[in-house]
Amino acid sequence: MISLEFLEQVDVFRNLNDDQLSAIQNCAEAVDYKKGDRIFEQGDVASHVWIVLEGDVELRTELPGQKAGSGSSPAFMSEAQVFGWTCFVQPYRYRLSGYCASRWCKVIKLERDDLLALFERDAVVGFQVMDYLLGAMGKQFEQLQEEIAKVRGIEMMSQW
Amino acid sequence: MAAIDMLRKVETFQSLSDDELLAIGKLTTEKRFNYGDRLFKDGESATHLWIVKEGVIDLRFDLPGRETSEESTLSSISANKTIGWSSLVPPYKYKLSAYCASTRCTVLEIDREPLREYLTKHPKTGYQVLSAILRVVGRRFQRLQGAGDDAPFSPVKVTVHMATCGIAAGAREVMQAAMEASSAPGNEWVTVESSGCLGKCATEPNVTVEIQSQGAVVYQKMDPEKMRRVFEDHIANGQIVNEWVLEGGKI
Repeated sequence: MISLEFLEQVDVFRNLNDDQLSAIQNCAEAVDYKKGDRIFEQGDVASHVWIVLEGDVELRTELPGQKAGSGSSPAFMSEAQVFGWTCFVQPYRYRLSGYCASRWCKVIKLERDDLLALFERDAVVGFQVMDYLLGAMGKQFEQLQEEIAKVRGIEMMSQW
Repeated sequence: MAAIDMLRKVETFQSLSDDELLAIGKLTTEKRFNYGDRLFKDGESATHLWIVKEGVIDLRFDLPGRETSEESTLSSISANKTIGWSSLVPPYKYKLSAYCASTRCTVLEIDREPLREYLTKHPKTGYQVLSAILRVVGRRFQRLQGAGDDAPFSPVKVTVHMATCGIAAGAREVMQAAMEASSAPGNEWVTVESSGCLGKCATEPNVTVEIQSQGAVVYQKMDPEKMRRVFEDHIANGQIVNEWVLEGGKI
């Protein structure tokens, strides 16, 4: 079972009390992967939020026609980092693929529907988690803008 | 101060009670803009959340050092929609620029600080509002992804097969239902197209649903009601409606 001590170290759950952390603990399941294992695939139905317990997870795009896992490498997630906010957003599909990038990975899966039920019961938890996820989306939005601006800038320059 | 009836139609506040809407309404100030006026610029301090009351606001992704133009419009936002979500997210800077794109635009602005304070003091309201904003940001995110692709980003494509045989069997009505469902809030990521005969005239109207990075599914003997259910079950929730799938129709 995932310890409360670990959960309270995860930014998204910081400042929650023991009862609230226990409720989160009840939605959580730890899963082991080895290097190269795919945790989920881009386009899969997104029904979980994920937290890295041990190891590194790589999130990357799969480009059509490429061998699985050979797409670009947008992000690495390490211990206590959270990913998978797309499970709360239509069309509820992962926009990237997740791979175990270290020798071993232990990852916590949090069932979306269990979390939503918890948020309805305890809005303080819901507010805090949504607030955190919005911040995470905001950062990714900014990164994506920078990538697009860079690509478009290069395209513009190549037309000169 | 905005009326409760108006706020109730706003996607971000739809699930709130009258008391909550009244409290949010007290935080609003109405402003008017003319065509071409800029409401805010990418990178500026995001001091307000905005609600479009009348008119159309273009959200543009302007590249540094280039003049703004309609070509850089990522989304056109109409009445009862929210813009300026970055006012609730660190580092509190607008991520896009907003321009009035109709003859006149009327918007409600809400100061970030009192709104944040209210949502924190009332976590149930805060949870509902932030959940709704998360959905808005998710849609904008996908639009932005589309702007970075060569082809428009469309995670879901619905094709209604509309040859003579299909039309005779009711494909027009199915197409109408698909268009209506795809224009519902939250379905901006679905494109609906028509195409010719699938070669399965006996099972018309046929509809193909393709979800990005997954296979296509062909549904047979569709009608408007079935089309709406495919939107709810398959497209929104990922549950293929197996009872209507054409034999060998999972490609």
